[in-house]
Amino acid sequence: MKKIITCLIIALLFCCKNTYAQHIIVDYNIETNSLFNEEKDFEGIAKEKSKEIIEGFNRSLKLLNSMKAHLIASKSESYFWFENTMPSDINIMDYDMAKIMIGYGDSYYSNQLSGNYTHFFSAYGIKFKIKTPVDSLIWKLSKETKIIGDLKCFKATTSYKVKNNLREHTVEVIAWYDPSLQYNFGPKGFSGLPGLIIELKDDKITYSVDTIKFKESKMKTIKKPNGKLITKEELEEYGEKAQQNFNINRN
Amino acid sequence: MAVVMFASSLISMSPSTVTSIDDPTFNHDECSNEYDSRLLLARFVGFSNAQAHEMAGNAYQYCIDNVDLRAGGYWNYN
Repeated sequence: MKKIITCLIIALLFCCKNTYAQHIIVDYNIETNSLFNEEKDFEGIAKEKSKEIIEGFNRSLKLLNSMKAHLIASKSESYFWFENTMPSDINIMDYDMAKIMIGYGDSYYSNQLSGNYTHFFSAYGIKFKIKTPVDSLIWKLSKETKIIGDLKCFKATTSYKVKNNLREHTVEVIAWYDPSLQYNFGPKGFSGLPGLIIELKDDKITYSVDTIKFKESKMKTIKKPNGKLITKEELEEYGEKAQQNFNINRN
Repeated sequence: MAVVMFASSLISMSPSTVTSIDDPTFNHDECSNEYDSRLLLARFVGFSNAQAHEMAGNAYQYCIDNVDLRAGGYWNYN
């Protein structure tokens, strides 16, 4: 009986917090869920060299386990960013590669009213921002559930494509969201689900909620970074030019 | 005779002889290869062009610094 009463009180407190909270602050842990395992022969690269590079990529991937990410969200907007909590007494190149892999320094602003999310990032020495419609991600909602901590989460899946000069890579994304938390946001601009994303598997990296703080005060206006607004196609044009400049300068 | 022996000993001790044997070649060719290899592999495993370029560019710069450090070390002690 005591147990039932305690559970009811906790549930009631949680509901009250959730109902009266104006915004939330979510801390996500980052975990590497798989490594690169490429056994392919590449023309012009010695097998030992490609093995050495892939091993370096994997060392950097593993380092991401010690990084954190944060989301601040109201019912209508959210902002997501990374925090560098990697140890500094490590191989400097692995450390820098890890930062590039995760997109350390990048941030994401989502707004339900505009229906867009904006990715702020640096590339080729320039600060950029790219706006993407939230509904460009087609979520498949599933009835499959999983208990994460005390939260009953539902599964949703989607995918997106990363196109580079060599190939097009399809990235599968699995999200676990809690419909009882009506903040329809999550890591890296992934949003549009009927609840807060508690866990997100994005290719080789998994973001999982560590803590959620419910705040009764109104969310402060988010100070977004500056950046030149461009499209993905324009970014590729910048890339071509940067590559050409690099090739001229190194010869 | 003594003059000839002295002259030949000077020749054998000439720094140019030592340098031609031990002087390593310091150039940045290996760094260009490092850049190209990393760029290709980063693209192959699925990183975007921007990420691949940054990863390869970083490795290139570390390689340049390393070659320059080795060269500096060599020329300081030779």
